[in-house]
Amino acid sequence: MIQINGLAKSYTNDSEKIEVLKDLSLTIEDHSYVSIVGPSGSGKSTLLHTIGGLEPIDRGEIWVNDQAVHKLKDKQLAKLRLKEIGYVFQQFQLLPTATALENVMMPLLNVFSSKEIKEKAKVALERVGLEHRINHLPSRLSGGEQQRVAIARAIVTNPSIILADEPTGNLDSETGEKIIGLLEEIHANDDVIVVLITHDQAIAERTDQQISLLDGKVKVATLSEL
Amino acid sequence: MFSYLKVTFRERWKIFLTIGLILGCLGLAYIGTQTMTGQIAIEARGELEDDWRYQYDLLVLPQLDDEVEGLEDGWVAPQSSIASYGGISLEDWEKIKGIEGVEVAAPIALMGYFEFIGMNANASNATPGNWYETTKEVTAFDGMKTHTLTETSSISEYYDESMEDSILYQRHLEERGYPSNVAPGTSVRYPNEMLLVAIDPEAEDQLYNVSDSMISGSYLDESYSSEGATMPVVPVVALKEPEYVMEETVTVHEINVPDNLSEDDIVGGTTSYLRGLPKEEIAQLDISSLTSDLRFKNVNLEFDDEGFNEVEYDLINAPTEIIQFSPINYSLIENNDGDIPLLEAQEYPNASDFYTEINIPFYRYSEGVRQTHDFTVDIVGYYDSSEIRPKFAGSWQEEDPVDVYTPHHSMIIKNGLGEEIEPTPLLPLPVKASYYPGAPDMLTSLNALHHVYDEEPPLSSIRVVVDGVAERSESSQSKIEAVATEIKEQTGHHVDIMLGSSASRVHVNLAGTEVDEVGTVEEGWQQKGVNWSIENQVNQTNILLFIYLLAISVIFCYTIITHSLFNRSIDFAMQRAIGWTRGKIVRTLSIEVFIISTIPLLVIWITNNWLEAVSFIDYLYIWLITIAIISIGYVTGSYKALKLSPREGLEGEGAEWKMQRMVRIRGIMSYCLHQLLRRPLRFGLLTIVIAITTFMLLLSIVTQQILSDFLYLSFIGESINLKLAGYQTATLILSFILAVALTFLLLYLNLTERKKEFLIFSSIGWPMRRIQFYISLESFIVSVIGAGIGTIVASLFINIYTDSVIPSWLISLSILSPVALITLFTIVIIAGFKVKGVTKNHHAA
Repeated sequence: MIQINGLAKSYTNDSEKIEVLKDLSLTIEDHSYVSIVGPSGSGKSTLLHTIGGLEPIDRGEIWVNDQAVHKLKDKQLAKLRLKEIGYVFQQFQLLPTATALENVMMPLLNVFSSKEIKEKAKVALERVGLEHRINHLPSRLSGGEQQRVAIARAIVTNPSIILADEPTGNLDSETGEKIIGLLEEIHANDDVIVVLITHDQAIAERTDQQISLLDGKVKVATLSEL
Repeated sequence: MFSYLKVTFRERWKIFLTIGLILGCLGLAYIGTQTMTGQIAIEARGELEDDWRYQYDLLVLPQLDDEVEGLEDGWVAPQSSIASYGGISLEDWEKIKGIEGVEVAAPIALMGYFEFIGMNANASNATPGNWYETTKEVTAFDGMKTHTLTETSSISEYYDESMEDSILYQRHLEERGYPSNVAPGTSVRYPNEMLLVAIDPEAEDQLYNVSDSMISGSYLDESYSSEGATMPVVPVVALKEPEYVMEETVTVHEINVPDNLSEDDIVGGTTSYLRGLPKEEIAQLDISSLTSDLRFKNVNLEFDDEGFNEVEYDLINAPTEIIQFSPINYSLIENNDGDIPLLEAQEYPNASDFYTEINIPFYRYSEGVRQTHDFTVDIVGYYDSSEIRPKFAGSWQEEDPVDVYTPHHSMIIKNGLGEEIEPTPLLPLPVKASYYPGAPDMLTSLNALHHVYDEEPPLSSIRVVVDGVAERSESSQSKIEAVATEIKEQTGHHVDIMLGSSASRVHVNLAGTEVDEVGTVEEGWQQKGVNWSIENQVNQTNILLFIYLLAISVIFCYTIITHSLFNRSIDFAMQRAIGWTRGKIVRTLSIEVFIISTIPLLVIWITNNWLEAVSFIDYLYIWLITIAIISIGYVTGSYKALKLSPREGLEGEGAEWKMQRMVRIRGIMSYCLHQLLRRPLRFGLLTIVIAITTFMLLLSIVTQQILSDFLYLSFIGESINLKLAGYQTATLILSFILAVALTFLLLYLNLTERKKEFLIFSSIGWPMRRIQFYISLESFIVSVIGAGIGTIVASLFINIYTDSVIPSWLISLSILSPVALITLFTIVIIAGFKVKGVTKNHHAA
């Protein structure tokens, strides 16, 4: 479960303080499939990053699976991301000189033996349907394939939460549909929380819960909250 | 296009200004280095020019002259020109004089050591009819120890008729065989052997100004007449110098002989009886008889308990004995490169054959017994060897050695126990067999040679000056070599080429065994060609230092420029996407290069108001070099970006490099190696910088040591070394600082350019410490590779070009230092990241 209470986050830009998230509170239940929507600059990505501890917060509380993210040290945050969270980015964020297999192996380096890592990475790539492309560099893969590699990298550690920041933003609609389908399949099979940011209302409507942000605040929450 | 340039400069003016300023500083450093190099080179070269020509160009020695041994070819011992008794004929001298290109051919012949007459010293207050005991002690100081040369005691009567009836006198006369009717006393001024050397006065005066050094009398002119002499007389010019400090003490005691003497009292001999009787001192003479005043005087001395008087007498024929000692003989103990050669002076095996009372070591071999020759000498004048100047030795300076006349002073550096002591001058002793003779005590003309040499070739050596070699040049060298070859061919004698010779140090072990005795002396020998070798070594070192400085500077600028251009690759793609051709982009970049290249000129122009050292040509050179350096960065930096299609460029893709897939990621080490190969430019440059810095430092330490050792071997080299040390150290330090700054810059760029990558790792669950560890491991690998390459290349270089071996501690240091430095830098940079907060910037990434 993800529990956020009174979250505030601001940036300073040319000495001007911009409040991105303002006293934001919400709850995401276990095994839920959630979308975050809102206009550009509403704080969607910042919210996603703060959940995984990628960005420090100004105030408030963030609880992930009963762990107080806002209090964790760097090493504990890294452990949280390794064990509990898998990130998927709009720009894929793959290492350009590493193959698909090596990119997926990355989170597990120094955690298991190299043989085990390789096996786990191969399984993850098979799950996303890229078993035939494991030795290809990102530059030799299509956008959809690169995003699949990124998803494989996110699930290789068997996380309980997948945070996807506009995973279809750089893809055509057909490929985007496949990626969303893949995430939904993972959500269904692995019983994990999937939180995705999207601008596509159709995609948002397929999720169990929509969180709409406007000016750093939750505009519309679940139907029950409404 | 120009409006684009305006925007570019407005956006990147800080970077362009930085590049310009760095290049400006480099230009200034270049000018400073050039100016300094020029000045130092002029000073160093000036010294070499001054000392390039020895006092003669060629030294002709007898072919079979093996008397001066010790070092192999390339060294000329002090006084080699009088090293042998003959060996070169007068006919050979005539042949040499006739060879084309010979300007002066000055012969010199060692005749032997002539024993000069002593002075009689008698007590003036003695009374006839009494008995006396006379004691004499002769001592001399060599800088360490006072040696007793003579210690004697004699009993004598001062005859008076009243003694005729005395039993004591009668018995004493029986024992000794003759009466003593002079006042008690002894002979002083002994030993007083004088080195007699024959020269050709005219030729010698062309080589040295011996005639100008005359302080009295005449210089061996032809007008000398020995009319009325009872035997042949050789006119000589004597050395007028207080050469030796020899103290003589003569004491006379009057013996109180009892009146009631019986036969039984003197049954054991009158002398022992008289020695046992009470006595009273009546007179004492303390005199330094080898001073310039007394050394050649024909006088007797009368002394009492208050002083002495000189009593002149007419010249009688002096003894005509000549002692022929061969010169000091050496054996070589050590002659390692970079070390001062160590020789051992060979002692004469049977010293007692010549001296029975003198208790000092003998270092000369006798060529035979004392020889009696039918001639005597007459001092026709005195010369002062300290006034002698060479005429062909460039800018000879006061107190420099002058061949046989004022040899380089030997310094005692170790005592008899082998302990190092404060260098002390070794004073010549008045015993020629001891160690060092100094200037010839007597000069005569070649006319006297026949008194000693019958049919044998009499000349010891011929010193030759070659015509038309006033400048230090290859053509001078060729002329001298040509004359040397001709002399060898015509006479068959050994010829030493003295060109480029300078005084070099040699250590000679003497036979001292006590703390106050001489153990080792250091003296100047001529090392042939050392002058040229110094120049080569100095030039090589300076060239290497300058290349290193230049390489580091170029890499520095290159790094900044390429970093700036890589960041602009998306700009180029955008320009091409909107219709710009590659040529148009290249033209804008060329204009940028031109504009940036003028910034250093401005910096130098402003600074030159104080320097006033930069000429138009310098400006031109600096401008061209600046353009070249900037262009290298611009061409390589933009080539990669322009090679991509606009789409690839806009998407931030880079050209693939085949080597980057050489290592597959399997674990930590393979990941680090993969990263190193992935960024060949940054890591490659870093490796190169570390390698050449390690190489340079190692080479510098070892070659500087070699250079210092080498220069220390020669007296001229030492003064040049002092001049060069500051410049070379400054250049090395400047380069080293640049290299350290560059290393930091490369590491910093390498890490900042990969910030996004680190953020990805952070998002997939890598803790910061693991990222730091991997970065440190990369740096460690690079530093070990760089330092290893530098060390290996330096070792090979040093092994090939020198005989030195790099000590193991230095190798360890040369590898560990860069590793430690780079690890430190990495930690500092990572700490900087941490302070800024990698995660804080994640959003921006």
